[in-house]
Amino acid sequence: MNKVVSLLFGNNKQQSFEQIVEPYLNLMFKVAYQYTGNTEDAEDLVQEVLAELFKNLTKLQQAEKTKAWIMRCLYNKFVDQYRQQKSRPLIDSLDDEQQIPLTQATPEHELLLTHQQVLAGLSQLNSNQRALVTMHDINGYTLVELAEIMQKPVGTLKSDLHRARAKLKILFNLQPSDIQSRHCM
Amino acid sequence: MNCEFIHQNINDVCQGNLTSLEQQKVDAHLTNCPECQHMLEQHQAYLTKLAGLQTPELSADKKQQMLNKLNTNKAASSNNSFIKGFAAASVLFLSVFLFNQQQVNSVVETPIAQNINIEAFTTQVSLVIYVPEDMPDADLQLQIPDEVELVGYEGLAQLNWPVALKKGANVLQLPIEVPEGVDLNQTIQFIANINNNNTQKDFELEVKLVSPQLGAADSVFNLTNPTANDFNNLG
Ligand SMILES: [Zn+2]
Repeated sequence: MNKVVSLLFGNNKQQSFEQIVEPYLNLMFKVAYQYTGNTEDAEDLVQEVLAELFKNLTKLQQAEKTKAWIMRCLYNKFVDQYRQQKSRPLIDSLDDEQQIPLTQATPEHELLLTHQQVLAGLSQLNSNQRALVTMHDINGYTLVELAEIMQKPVGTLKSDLHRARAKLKILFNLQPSDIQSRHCM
Repeated sequence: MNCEFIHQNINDVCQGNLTSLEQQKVDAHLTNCPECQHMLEQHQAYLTKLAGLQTPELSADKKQQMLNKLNTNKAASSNNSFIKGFAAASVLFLSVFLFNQQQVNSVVETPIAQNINIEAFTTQVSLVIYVPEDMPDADLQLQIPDEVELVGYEGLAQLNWPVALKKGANVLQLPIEVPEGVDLNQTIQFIANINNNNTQKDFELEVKLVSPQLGAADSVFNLTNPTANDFNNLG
């Protein structure tokens, strides 16, 4: 059934699935990357979200707030998927071959180092905190918008955010010395 | 102005998203409050750090690949959505499609309470195509009757598109618009043609229009039995 309907809508000038989701693909991938911390997982997550949206094409076509709908779907998929994996392994960007000796640090290396520190910090948060921090403190969503996307009361989000920030701030201050010690080994 | 305001709006304070009056008050508070000053510096560093997270770009190729995957990877329809499709339909046509049969017409009639449609409405027609075997590369051609328009294809009289039909029932939902002034009591005729491996089959599909308010409940009732009956008759 989906196939037949999709073929019909695939040609539809006003409401095709591709036309609805295409403008949001970059955003979806960006957020998926912020959630998962690596390209491969982000692509898989976006693919799953697309499949889910596709299954609900009619609802998607009727949704008033397409972006919020898509962001909610992305968040739910991420949380579902990562619920099983309680503690995520440290992300692959801290692998040895990608380490830069600090003595060689150039502006590019600084940028890469910061990027790695943020990923490493985020990987220590649970999926809910991670999503909250990236959406609120990186992408600038308000708590009211996030309450809609995450289906949680603003008060709950506020205290979750507070806890996540406190943890990250500690991690960010500790990490440079941690990385340095890895190089000295 | 107090510490609480700064705590509550810390991102806006750091990013300078305050009104000039608020900004003045914050500045005044900060000169007298080392705690807030320290907290603000720390938070600024935190935000700057987070902003250092870079995101790779999703290439155009990858995007297309992802979208294409949906078209080749679709799961078979669930019974649930199948039933929902029926429930949502308020104008229906029902067809039985077998290659060894000549032409099969099936009309689903529902009680009509009014004759002339006073107001245009949009509704869905569910076309049920029942096939004896998988037909992964079939072509479907559909002629739209003059009385109605296919939503999104206004003005088009005929549509062709490739379909992959699965053994058993396949539902195709067509969003149609019924303009005002159409006699709802008449029977309108869709003509469909399915071509599978150069074997063609035409079938006429007669539809009685029903306004959405009247149709929904009856449609579900009518659909369950005719399917079985049609097959018994054909058997
Ligand atoms: Zn203060």
